Amino acid sequence: MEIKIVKKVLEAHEKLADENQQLLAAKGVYAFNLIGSPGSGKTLLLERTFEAAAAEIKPGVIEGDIETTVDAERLQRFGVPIVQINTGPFGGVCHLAPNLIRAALEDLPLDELSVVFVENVGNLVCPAEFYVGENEKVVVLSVTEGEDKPLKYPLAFREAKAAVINKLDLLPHLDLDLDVLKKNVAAVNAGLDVFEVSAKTGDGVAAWVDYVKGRLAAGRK
Amino acid sequence: MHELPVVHSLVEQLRAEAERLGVNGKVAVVHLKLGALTTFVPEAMTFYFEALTKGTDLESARLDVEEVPVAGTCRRCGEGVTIEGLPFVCAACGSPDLEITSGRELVIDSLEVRDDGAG
Repeated sequence: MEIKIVKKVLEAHEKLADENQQLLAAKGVYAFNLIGSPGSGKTLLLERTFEAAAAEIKPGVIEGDIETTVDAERLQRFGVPIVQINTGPFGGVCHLAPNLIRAALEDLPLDELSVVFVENVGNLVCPAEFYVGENEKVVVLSVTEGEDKPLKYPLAFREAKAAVINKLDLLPHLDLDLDVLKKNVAAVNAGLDVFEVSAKTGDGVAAWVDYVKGRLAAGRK
Repeated sequence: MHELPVVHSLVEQLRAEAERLGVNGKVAVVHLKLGALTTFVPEAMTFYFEALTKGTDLESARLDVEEVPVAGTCRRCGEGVTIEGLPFVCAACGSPDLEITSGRELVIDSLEVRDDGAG
């Protein structure tokens, strides 16, 4: 006998994530979920973003790492509220789940914020898979990772609304062909807003910051 | 490795469903639909499923994973599209402006239950 069920395995996950989104929306806060490989430059991108616009965009940060509070410490100089989640005590999972985000949101002063950046655990696989209640995912990819990454990790690039190609200052030292990389990004998701930046030198960061501001403005309508 | 917590959720849900349906210990096959765009690996899922159901009411149940293709509709020409490889474009008109409606599934589709002559 066959019994039809048709139930999502992650139903409980999705419900929690939806509740996170409702909480954010009620507070008028826009949430970015930053995903990318370890060392792709997610934290430095946030540092540059805050240097340019922390006073204006009133950010809060949820930092996800398996261990250490190093990233949160780097961001402390901006005086923005930061909640560090270490997944280590929970078994070293590879992504932030919506229940962890809920707990972190409760520790942030949402009434004082316009935007929350969730810096996910560094990897291009599982963080792409899980909706945690964010308004949009942004994938950060550095040119040292090679042209092929969008093709190897298509879900990350399908789920994202924007891609930040980072470390452009290193291009003279690499064999990477930037046009091929951009072509590969477009092959997976031609609708992505793509930003070419060097978070180290600050080149191209202004366009990214404008994008962030634009999203917040649109989100507030 | 990220299949483990997912299979854990699956097994918990199956227990609740079996309880609700009164078919504890009788589930022979679990049909799972898995979208081709997800990052979950079927072999890893069946491996964890066996490990997590061992010694439980679901021990004799087999996990059958059916892959669901990535598919949708082209917003430009209205044709149905199935994406079997890159690039993500409409095969008919070449547009990348697609409404993808399947390929992200992780769904318990159905259960095959042994009758055991009891009913």
